[in-house]
Amino acid sequence: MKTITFSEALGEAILEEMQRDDTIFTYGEDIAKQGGIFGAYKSLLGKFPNRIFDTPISEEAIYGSALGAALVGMRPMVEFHFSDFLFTGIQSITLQIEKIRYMTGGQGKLHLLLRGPDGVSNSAAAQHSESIETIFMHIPGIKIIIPSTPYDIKGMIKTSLRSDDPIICFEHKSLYSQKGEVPEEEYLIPLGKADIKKEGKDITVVTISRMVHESLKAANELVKDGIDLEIIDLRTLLPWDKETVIKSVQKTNRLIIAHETWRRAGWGAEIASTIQEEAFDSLDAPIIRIGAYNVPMPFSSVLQNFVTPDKQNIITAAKKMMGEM
Amino acid sequence: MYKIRMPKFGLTMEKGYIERWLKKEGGLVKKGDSLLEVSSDKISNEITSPTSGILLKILGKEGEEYQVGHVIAIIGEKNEQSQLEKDLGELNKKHLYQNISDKLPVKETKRINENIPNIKASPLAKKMAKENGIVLSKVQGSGPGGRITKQDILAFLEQQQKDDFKIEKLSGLRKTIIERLSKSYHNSITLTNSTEVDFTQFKKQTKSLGVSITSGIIFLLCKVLLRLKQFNSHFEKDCLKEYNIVNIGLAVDTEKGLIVPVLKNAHTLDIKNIQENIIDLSNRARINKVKENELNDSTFTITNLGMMRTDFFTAVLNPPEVAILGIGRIIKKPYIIDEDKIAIRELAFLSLSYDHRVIDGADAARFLDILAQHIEKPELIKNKGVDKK
Amino acid sequence: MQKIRKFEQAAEQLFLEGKLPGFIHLYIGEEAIAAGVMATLNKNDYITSTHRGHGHMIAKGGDINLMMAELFGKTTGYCKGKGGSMHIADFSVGVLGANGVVGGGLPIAIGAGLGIKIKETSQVAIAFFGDGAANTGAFHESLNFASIFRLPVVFINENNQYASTAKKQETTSVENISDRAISYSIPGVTIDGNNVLAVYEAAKEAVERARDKGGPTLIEAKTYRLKGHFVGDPTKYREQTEVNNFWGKEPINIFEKQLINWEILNQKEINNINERLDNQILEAIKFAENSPEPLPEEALTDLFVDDTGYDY
Repeated sequence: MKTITFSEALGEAILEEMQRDDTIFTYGEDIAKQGGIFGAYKSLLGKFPNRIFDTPISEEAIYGSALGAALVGMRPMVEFHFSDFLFTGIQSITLQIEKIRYMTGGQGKLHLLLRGPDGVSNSAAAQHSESIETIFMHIPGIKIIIPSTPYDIKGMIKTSLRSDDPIICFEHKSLYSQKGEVPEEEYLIPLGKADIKKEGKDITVVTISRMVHESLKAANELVKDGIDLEIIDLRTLLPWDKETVIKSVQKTNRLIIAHETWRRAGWGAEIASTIQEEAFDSLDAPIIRIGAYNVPMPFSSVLQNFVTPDKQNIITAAKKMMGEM
Repeated sequence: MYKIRMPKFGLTMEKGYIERWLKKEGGLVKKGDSLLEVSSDKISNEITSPTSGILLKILGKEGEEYQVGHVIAIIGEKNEQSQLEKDLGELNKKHLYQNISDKLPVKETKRINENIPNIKASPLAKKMAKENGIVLSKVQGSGPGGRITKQDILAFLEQQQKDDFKIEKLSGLRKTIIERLSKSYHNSITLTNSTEVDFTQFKKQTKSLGVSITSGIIFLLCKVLLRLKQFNSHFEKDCLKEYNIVNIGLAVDTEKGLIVPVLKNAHTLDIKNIQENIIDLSNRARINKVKENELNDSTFTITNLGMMRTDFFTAVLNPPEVAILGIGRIIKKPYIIDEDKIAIRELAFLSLSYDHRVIDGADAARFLDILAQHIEKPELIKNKGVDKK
Repeated sequence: MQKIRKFEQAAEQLFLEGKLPGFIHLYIGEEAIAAGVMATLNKNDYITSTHRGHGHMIAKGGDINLMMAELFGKTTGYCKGKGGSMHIADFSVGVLGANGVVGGGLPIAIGAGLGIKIKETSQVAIAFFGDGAANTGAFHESLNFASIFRLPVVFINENNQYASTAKKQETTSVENISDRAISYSIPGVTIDGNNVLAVYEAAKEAVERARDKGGPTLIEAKTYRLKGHFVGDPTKYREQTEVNNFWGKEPINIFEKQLINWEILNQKEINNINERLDNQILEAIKFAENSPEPLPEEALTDLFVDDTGYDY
C-alpha cells in the first residue's frame, strides 16, 4: 500500500491504461500544458504528446468528437473542465452519445469516458459549483461513476477505460487533494458495485462523493448518541447497486439518502422511490433525503454553507429518524 | 333517540368486545358512518351508524365486553339530551336478545388480525403486526405523530408474552434448592421402601395430647434413629458419621419454595416441646425468619405430604444425610385386623428413601418395620412422650 | 443518382399511402452531391450524414433492403426498427449515422478525423450538412477544431437553399457559405451541386488533401430541395414557379443528357439501368413488407454493450 492523493491516483490510472492500450487518448481544456485545473494530469505532463492535448473551448465539438473517435475504434477520454460546462455542449452528450448506439440498433461500441470535477468549492458561485449527475441518471444512455476515494477513483477509472460503454465520471473538487491508501499492484473495481464504507445497524445512509466523507463524520459524532449509521457509497450511480441498498435497509429498517446536488428531484428521490417500491415492508420510518436547497449556488461563503448539505444535516436527520428530536 | 346495541354476528355470538370508537361523544354522525369496531371471538367488524344525528352518549367502553343487545350508545337530536339523562338508568335493565344486529348495517367483515388502515404505523410495523396477529389499534405508537414503529411492536410482543406466561427470575433460595437437589440426585443411588401403617390409635393418642401427627412421628423417630444409627448419619467421602444426637430436618413448603429448618436435639425433647418447636420453626420459615444456624446440621429429614393428597413418594435425600422419611396421607380404609376381621382403620404410607450405597434394602425394611411398630403401639407415647428411660 | 431518386420516389409514395410511420425527408434534386463525393471515397472512409440522409447511405454502399425495412420500422431494418429514416447508419460501410439534429454530425466527423489522425491511417471523414447547419455552433466549433489539428475531414455543405422553411438568404450572413472557410484558415469552394462531375472534382481534390495531411476543406455544393422539408410539407414559403424552374436544373436529367451526348450511354442502356433499379426498389419494398415487426421487449436492448444491473 502507498498513500497518495485522489488526484495522483487518477493520474496513475490514466497513465497505466494509456501505456497498456494505445487507442486511449485524452483531451480537454488546460490539461496537456497545465496538468489539469486540479492537477490530475500533472504526472502525465510531457507524456504521449499525440494522445494528450489541449483543445479550444468548444464543448459541443469536444464531446461530439469523442463519439466520432469511439466509432472509429478509439477510446477517447475527455476532461470536461467543470461539470457546469457540460451544458454548453450538452447536445453532443444527450442527443448523440447517449442515443446513437440505441438508435442504430446496437451498432458500434461507444467506449468513451467523460470525466471532470463537479461540486461546491470555496465561493466558486453558481456556474462553477454544480453537481448535475441526476440529469444523466434521468436520460438513458450513459453510465455514471462518482468515486470518493483515491482507491476507488483509480480502480474505477481503469475499469472505465476498458469498458465498451460510454461513461461519465464526476470528481468532487474537494476530493482531489484528499489522501488515501492505494495498492502497489494493479487492481480494477467493477462498475455497479456499491461499497459499504462503514457498517452499522440503525440507519442506512446511501451517498456518494464528498457526502460519503460527511456521512462518515456524522457517523462518528452520532456514536455518543448511540446511533449507528451504515454508510453505503454507491460509487456507480448508474447502474446503482440496488441489491446492496435493499439488503442494508432490510437490516436497519431506515434509510437516509445524502447527496450534494439539489434535493428536489435529485437522484435521492429515485432511490427513495425504488426502495419504497421494493422494500416497503422493511421500512420503519419515512425515508429522508438530504440535498442542497433549490437555488443556484451563491457566492458568499455564509450563503454557500447554508445552501450546501454537510454532516450536520445527516446528524439532524438521523436524530429525527431515531425519534430523538 | 336511537339506541345502538351490541350487534350479533352469526348465530353463536353472545358477547362482543369493543375494539374502539371511531366517533366522539357529542359529535355529528351521518347514516353509514363507521361508528365503532367490534370484535367477537371469531371476527372483527366495523359498525356503521343506522341513522344520522348526534352521538349523544357512548355507553360501551373500549376494551370491554358486552352482551349482544346491550345498549352501547345513543344517537339522537340535541333536544333529546335531557330526556336521555332520565332514561339512562332504565336502558340496560333487560337484555334484548332479538336479532338487533340484522338492523345494523355492517360495512365489511374482516379477519380479526387485519389492521385498520388509518392507524399510523410504519410499513415494517404493519408487516410485523400482521405476521404476529397483532391488532394495531391495541398498540401504542411512540414514533413521530404517534406512529407505530418496529420498536412498539416489539414492546407489544414482549408485553403480550408477559400476559401469556410469567417469567420470574429464580430466587436465591430456589437456586440453592436446585443446587442441593441436583447434587444429591446425581451423587447418590436413592431407593424408596414403603409400607402402609395403621395410624388409628396413633391419631387418637396424638389428638388427645393436642399434638400433630408429625410431632408424634418425630418423637418416635428419635428412638428408632438412636437404635439404628446408620440412618442417623452423614456420608462423607468414604466414611459414615453416625450421630448420637438427633437433629431432624423438617421440609417446609413456603411461598418461596422448599425450606428445611432443623429441630436440633430432637431426642431430648418431649412430644409437647417437639410440637411447640416445629410450629415455631415452620412459621418462621414461611415468613423467611429462620436463622442461618437453624438451617444446618440435620441428621435426618422428614417430609410430610399427608395433608395433601399424596400417599407414597420418593423424597430426595438431603445430603450428607443418608435417609429421609416421607409421610403420606392418612385415610380411612377397610383393613384386615386380627382373626380376619375387616375393620375401618386410618392408614398411611411411610416411605423411606435412602442412599443404597451405604444402606441395604433389608436395613431399610427393618427401619420401617420398627417405626411402624412404634406407631401402631401407641402406648409408647402414652406418657406424653416424655422418655424416662 | 438514379437509385437514390427511385428509392426516394418510392419512399414518398409509400409514405403518402400511409405505409411508413414517422416522417421522412427526401433527397430528391440533391443526388449529385452524394454520388459525386462518394465516388472519391473508399469503403473504409467515414461519413456523417443528416436528417436528409438516404442518398448518402445509398451512395456509400448501403443496402436498400435494410434501409427500406428500417423506414417501415421492421426488425430486419438497419436499426432493428429503433432508428427510422433519420437515424439510419451502417458503421460497416463507414456511415456513422444520419442525424436528426441539424449540425449533429459535424462534431462526430471531426472525432472520426481525430481517430484517423492518431491511428495515422490515410482514411478521411466527410461531414455532410445543410445550409441550416452552417449557422449552428457545432459548425463553427468543428471547423475551427478540424483546422487547428489539421484533421483529415472534408466538410460538404449541401446548400439546398432552405433550412426547413427558412430561405438561406434570410438566415445566413454570407453570400456563399464557403466564405466562412477563411475564418478557419482552411480552403473553401463553392460549386454547382447539381453537376455531379463538378462535385466529384472538388471532392477529389479535398479528399486527397486530407489524406495527404493537408487538413480540412469546406465545399459548398449549391443545389435545390425539389420536395418539401418533409413529405407532406405544404411548402407555403416558396412559389411553385421557383420549384418548376429548378426541376429544369435537376442533376439526373442533366447528367443523362451529357452521357448520351458523349456517347457513353444510349437511351436503351439508360432504360435498362432504370428497369434494373426499379426491380431492386420493388425487391426492397417486398423485403420490408414481408419482414416481421420487432417484439415489444426488443425496446429494452441495444442501449449498452453490458447492461448488467441496469434497471430499464
